[in-house]
Amino acid sequence: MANPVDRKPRRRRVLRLAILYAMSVCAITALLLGLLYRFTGEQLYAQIDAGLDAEARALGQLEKREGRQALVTTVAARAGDWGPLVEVAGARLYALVDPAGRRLAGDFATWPSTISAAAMQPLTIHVNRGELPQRGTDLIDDIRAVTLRLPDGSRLLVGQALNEVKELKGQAFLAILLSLAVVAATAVIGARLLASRIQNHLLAVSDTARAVMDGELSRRIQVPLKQSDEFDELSLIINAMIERIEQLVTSLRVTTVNVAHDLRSPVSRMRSRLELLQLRRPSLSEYSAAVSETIAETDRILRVFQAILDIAQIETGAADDKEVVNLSELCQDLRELYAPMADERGVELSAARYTEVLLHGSRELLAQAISNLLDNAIKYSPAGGKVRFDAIYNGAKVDVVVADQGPGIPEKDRARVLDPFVRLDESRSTPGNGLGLALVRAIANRCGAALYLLDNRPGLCVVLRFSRQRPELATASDLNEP
Amino acid sequence: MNVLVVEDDLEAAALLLEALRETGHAARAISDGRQGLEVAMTEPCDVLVVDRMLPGMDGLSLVTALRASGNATPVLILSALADVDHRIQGLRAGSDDYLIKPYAYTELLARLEALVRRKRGEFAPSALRVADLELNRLTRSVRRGRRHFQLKPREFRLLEYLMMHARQVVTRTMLLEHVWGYHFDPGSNVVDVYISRLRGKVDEQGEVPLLQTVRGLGYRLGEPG
Repeated sequence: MANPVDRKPRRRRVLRLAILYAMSVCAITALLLGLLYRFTGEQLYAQIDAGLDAEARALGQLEKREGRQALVTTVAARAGDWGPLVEVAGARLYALVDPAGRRLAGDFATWPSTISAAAMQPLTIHVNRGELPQRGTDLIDDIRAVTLRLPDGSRLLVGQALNEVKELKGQAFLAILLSLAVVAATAVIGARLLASRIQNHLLAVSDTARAVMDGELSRRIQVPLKQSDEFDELSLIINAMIERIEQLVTSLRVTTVNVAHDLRSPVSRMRSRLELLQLRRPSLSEYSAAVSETIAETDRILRVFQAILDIAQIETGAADDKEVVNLSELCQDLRELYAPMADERGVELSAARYTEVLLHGSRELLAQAISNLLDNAIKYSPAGGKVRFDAIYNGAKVDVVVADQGPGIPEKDRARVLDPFVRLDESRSTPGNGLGLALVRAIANRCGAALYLLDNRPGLCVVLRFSRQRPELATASDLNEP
Repeated sequence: MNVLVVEDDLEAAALLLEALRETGHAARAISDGRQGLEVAMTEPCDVLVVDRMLPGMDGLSLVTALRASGNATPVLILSALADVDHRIQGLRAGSDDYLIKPYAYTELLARLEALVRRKRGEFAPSALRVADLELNRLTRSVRRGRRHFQLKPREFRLLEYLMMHARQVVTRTMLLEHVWGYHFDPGSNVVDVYISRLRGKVDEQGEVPLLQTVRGLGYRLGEPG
């Protein structure tokens, strides 16, 4: 079946999103800067207008108080002396005309043609050629002006050249454009960097997944020592998942191989035995003996199959056991069951130390697991040895500990001994099928407990740890629930 | 004992019938569920062995229908489905025991006899007696002749079960199930050793050995022979 995933995804979602974000930032920046520009412009005009307005009114008052001549003189005085070096920038301009439009005083040769009616509203008016005759004024294009209609019909104009304002506005606009350019560039670069970083993580994950699909079950995503963010968490979880898959696959693989291998011997034995019977003329008692042995052999084989089935069922079953188990009671029970056996072998069982705690899980499975461990511990203990069997509550965890002083398990074998059918050389003479610890592991997984194999110095110490993180630690009130 | 077997695997049914007859019981086999139910309701029998998977009507439905009709004949279900949920399902349907395939015939026989015995002894007496061994359920005390002795709660339950099935063979699996509530095989001889411990208390020097081990089968409480 063709690999369903292309190497290069056609739609680069992350990059698109990042660029979309960058563009939004630019757009908002542009909008804000635009508003600022507009606002500043309006403020400038407002300031100028205020000044013009004040002056126009003052001049109007002047005429009222001191008469036309005073006004004419003042205007004439204020009107510009336009030498070659005069600053045009914020210069005030005046025009005073009679009702007929003839010039009385001011910079203007004639009343600016672009003004239609006299009003107190400030206007921006364009000055045509010739209206400002003096040298130096030819740089003036637009002015902001206030016009005042005098009682006798004459008109007064007070204006200000907008050259300065225009220059300012021009500079501001350039600044805005430049800023936007920088923002846009930064945003785009940032977006690409961000996108590429995210994509690297995604690619690492999908590459690993692809490798695992191709059969490389030992592949893991590289995670830095100091895990900090969601990517690392995702990587850790996926690694754990691959680990679990590897475990299950290995278990299955090992089981299949070993079932074939381990069961071939007893079946061959049975066959030989029966074949031998066929070849000779055995007596009735010989037949009887052969039949008994064959039955015993088939029983052994059936037990192995049962154990394999149990493990498979436990591993693939839903872990939703709702039974409330009294761990202390269970441990007491099992201790009592195994005490005679320990006694008979000269093995000392430690004094009972069982914490009162309730667990959610299957009593049957837990009993099976602990019984398995106890059985092993007693079986492998030397005469006179001590077996420790406790259930201890420490903080948020409950540890069920079974420790013996037997041969133990060398560190290098501790991982693989949990796989089905593995028997270490030291234990080949002891009866068993190598499925015990595999079963315990399957049950531990199902009940949400962690399984640890430790050195008991000497011997083996097995710990089943139930922690509060997994929601298995029930409280006493659970017992009262209907 | 009159046994009715409802099993669609002809060869298995034939073997079982032969085994039952060999051991002196009357038996017949029906291979269809619906027909099996009919026969169970119309003809007298002491115990039924019903396979879970049957054509016509499956084992559990058969038992449910049987119970619904008021029939209280003990039923043992045979099944390849071993996990707890299936077992509970089987018992809830109204069956009295549940045995996993493949099974040892001796196991099946022991359980059938226990079922029939239980059915016959409707009112469990407060005191059980086997020879000079007496167990009082109310006072929780045990004595052998004049000798009183103490038993731990589990030991008491074990002896009680053996006495309820006095003179019958009781298998290890039956004990684990009924006395300890465990449905798994602990693998080693832990039950044997536990029984020896009990035997030490029950059968003292000079007394008639009542608690016997039957090789390959299980245990038996009763006068020897």
